[in-house]
Amino acid sequence: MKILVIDDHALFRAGLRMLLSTIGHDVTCLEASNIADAETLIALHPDLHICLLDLALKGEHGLDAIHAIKASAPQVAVVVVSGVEESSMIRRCIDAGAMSFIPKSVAPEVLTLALQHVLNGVVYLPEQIVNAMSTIQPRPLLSPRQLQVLQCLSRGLPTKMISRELELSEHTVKEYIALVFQSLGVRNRTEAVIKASQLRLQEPAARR
Amino acid sequence: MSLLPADLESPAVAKREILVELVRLHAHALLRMPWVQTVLVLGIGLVIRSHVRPDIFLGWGALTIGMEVFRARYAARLLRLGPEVDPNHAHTVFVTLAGISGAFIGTGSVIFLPLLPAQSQALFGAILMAIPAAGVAVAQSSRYMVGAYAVAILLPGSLTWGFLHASQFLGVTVLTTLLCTVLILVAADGDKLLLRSILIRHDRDRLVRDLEQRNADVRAAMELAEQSAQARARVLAAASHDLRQPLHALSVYSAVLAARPSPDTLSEVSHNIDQIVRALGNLLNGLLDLSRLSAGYYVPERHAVSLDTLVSGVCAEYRSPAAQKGLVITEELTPVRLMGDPVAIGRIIRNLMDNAVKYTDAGAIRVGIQVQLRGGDTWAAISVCDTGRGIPAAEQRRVFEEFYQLDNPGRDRSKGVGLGLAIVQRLCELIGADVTLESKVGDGTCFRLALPVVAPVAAPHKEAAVAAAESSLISKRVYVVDDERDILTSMRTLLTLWGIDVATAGTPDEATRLFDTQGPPNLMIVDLRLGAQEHGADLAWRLQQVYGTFPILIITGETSSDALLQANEKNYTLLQKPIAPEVLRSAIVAAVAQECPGGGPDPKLDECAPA
Repeated sequence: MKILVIDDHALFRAGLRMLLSTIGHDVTCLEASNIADAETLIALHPDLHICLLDLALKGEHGLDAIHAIKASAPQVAVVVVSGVEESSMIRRCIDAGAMSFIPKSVAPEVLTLALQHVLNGVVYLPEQIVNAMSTIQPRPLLSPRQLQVLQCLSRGLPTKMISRELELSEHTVKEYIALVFQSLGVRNRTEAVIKASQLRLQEPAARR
Repeated sequence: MSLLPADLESPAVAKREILVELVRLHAHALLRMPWVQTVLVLGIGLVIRSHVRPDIFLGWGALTIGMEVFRARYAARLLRLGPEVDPNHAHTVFVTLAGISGAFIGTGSVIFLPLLPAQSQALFGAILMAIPAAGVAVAQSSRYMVGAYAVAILLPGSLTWGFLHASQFLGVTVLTTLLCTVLILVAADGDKLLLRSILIRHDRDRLVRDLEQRNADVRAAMELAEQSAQARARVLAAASHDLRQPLHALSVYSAVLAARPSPDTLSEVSHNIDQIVRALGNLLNGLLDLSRLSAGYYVPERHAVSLDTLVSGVCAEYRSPAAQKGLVITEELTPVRLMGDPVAIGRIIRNLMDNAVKYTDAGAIRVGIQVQLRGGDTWAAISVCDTGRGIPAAEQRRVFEEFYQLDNPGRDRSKGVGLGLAIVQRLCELIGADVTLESKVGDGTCFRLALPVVAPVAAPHKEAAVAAAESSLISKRVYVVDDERDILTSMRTLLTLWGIDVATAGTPDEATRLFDTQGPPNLMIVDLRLGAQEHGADLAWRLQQVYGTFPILIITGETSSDALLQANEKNYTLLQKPIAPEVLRSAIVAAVAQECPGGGPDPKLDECAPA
């Protein structure tokens, strides 16, 4: 699995690289300290799976990086790993297409857990965001197909790419998305991602 | 008078002030006088027109009005000149003019009174009496002006009256004198009133000045408070970012360790953690220094400092790290002695040297001292120039900000924490020095520290004694015993600079050999911890038993131990690490001087310079 770590703090980057290669199997880590380097690496590695991204880059903002990555390589799942942890910023990151958000200030074991989730394609969001949504709803029953669509949505894929990946027509994908939103009781993708994290929804084992 | 303000306490000053005011007020009143005089002449004309020849009357009228016009023009000129006018002179002129003006009017009574019938005489007389009374207002409170004016008008009138009516002569004289006296007394009262009004005005001015001053003080204090609050907020924000970053990284490494990493990873982890911890330590130390400097806890000292010695000592410290990077340090130090804070200056030069070594990859670091004249004052300029990467013009001001670092986007704290120049600037502000920089990208950077040269003011005898003692260091033999080679090297460099004949030993055995082959020195400097069984104080004691009581300086980083206790018991001079070159030097001077009066331990070595 190829992972790109974008952070301007070299020692933190190195730490993430070591942690990923220790807890993950067969992880290849790429590193970049700014958006331009990241874009070059993304272009060089079309098989990139995940991008771990810091928001506070020197003179640049991680949100711009999310937009850039989502524009050039929508299949890459963006996971924000940041010292910033305001809810509004977390939401803006998800709005921009991020799949997960890991605050740097979490305890070491939480960091490990969150990265394991992310490596497994599970959405991770800090509790403050998740708790803000009501949890009274019973766990919705999603079909494997619907779970796949939700997973693709979480990764920030546009409808066209979801249809290509699942070999469905765009029209069908749109119907699935509407159904998923309805089952989860959400109105948009951001809420769906938060909900997915809240319910620890995972993509069906068959797809891995 | 208790009301008297400070600047009016001298009577001469008060008198002058009153005179200035009086002249000013009188000049203002005089401006109206031509019109008043014209109306007066017309009025008198109406009363006596049928009894006198018109041409004579008109001649008299024109004369008096002309006189008033002249006075008014003189007054206008004085007002225009303002403060340049000498009030004494102006007052004298005014008194003279008042006398002449009064005399012209008074002439009227001599000419006209004899021509008038009794009734008109009385009326004319009454008018004459009224004129000086009104003159009091014009003359303000000048007794002399009122006196001159009144006497000049009334004297001819009363004499003529007495001439015409001999029986009334005495009465008229008494009444006229009374009138003059009263008028002068009234003027004197006005004088007092004027003084009071001036005092009140002074009081008011002083209050307003005080208030303005206090307002300005408050504004300045508030501005300062605001600035420092902003600076503090900025530092706090940067510090919290810079403190959190390594903590976050530590947390990642902690997670790596918990995940049982491979041995290879483990060694990298420990190396990285070490770097992070060091950086954190530096950061905290830097912040502490900065806060100490900002909070005003640091009170600059003033000692006589040999700038060249101090700078050269700092250069010696950096020779080895510079050499590791292949850099050469060159010195061009003009000898300068001045009153200053050796610790602060040393710290500034160290921080500048630190940067120079850190940001230069190849070439040389040139350190210089020049003496400059700037607007009549002498300044010592210390320059530290490197051939490093340089600082872009746009960033040259910002490098003095806390946490600002060039070319360190990753804020890699192994490259320093970005507080060095901020500390330099704070220290410069504290000791009244100037720091400037000149830089060209690619060519290098020059930092210049300008210190005002205040010649040492110590008693000349003491100065001479110190100078003599210092010159007495030359070719003294000093043995340095320390188990750390680095320290031996830097001590040798430093002491050689002071003209001392140095020999070094790394162990007690080497030291003993030194004594065996070369005899006892003028001074032995020994580290308390020698890494051997024997500690420094023991070694010194043992050698003294054999070679006599040569002076000993013990260097130690400890604050309590048995070894320290022993050193104390034997009354050896102790120097606590870290030792500033200045301190070391004066300790050596003192120790060597001590050796002399008691005579050397060995007559051969008795090198005490003749007084």
